[in-house]
Amino acid sequence: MNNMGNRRVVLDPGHGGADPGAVGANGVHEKRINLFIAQEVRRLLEAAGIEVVMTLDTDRNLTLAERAAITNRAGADCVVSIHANASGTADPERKARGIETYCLPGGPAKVLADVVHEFMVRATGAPDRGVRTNRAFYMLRKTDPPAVLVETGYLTNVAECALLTEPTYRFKLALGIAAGIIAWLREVKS
Amino acid sequence: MNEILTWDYLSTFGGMALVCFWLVQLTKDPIDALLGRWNWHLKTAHLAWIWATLLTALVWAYQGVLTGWNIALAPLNAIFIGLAAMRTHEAGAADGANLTESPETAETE
Repeated sequence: MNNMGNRRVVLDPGHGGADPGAVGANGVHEKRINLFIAQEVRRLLEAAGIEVVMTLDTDRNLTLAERAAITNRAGADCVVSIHANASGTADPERKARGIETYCLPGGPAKVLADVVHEFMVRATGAPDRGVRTNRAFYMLRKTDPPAVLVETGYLTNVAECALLTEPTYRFKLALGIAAGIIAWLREVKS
Repeated sequence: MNEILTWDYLSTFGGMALVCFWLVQLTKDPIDALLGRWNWHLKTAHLAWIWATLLTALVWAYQGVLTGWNIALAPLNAIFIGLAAMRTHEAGAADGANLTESPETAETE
């Protein structure tokens, strides 16, 4: 393995505990999808010699402020929040599907968002909904290292929800996220 | 059974680039250690090209198209697969160009 010593990454699986996040078309809870993907990404990064800090690695309650505090204490090179998406009233037929990646506008996380997003789309072949900016996401605003938030797919879309509940598809997502983080660390942080 | 890796997946540009990326990750250090005995060094980009060539040849052989002049195309295709696998980010380092400002205003995620 191409060792990436002295690198540290925070992974933040969205939701948990009493907060299930979005509920999928087949009843699956977003928190489970997020945690599974984050744990796979963790294994892949650790195999590459990267230290990983998880904001949570079990299904439990954790506020956004606590997540940000864990991230800021970790002294990490970057933080990746992992989520699944849900469409609202603007999409009554629940047709929306694909991968989105968020970062703050004009910040250093833009490159990280680009690379992670590209690898996720490449790994899965999912529709590319682009890298977007959003000032409202707490984990992007309140964390010190470059932060991105990935939306791995739409749980409200029947087909994509079925994919997200497949371990093999989630592993492909994890392969893409980990590849993006490693590529960013190698090229940008080296 | 749902396989992670199928010939169909491997025959896509994205699938091949991703597999190439992880092959380089898995083999770079052992190969460096081996070549280091003779004071040789193989650049990561070159290792990516070698893996991409091998993957391309493997997939084309499976598809039955690794014949004649196509053989010469495999290492040329591999240049781009290797580049994609070892993606560098000069283009992405631009100051936020091509970003979509999200309309969402949710306070929590």
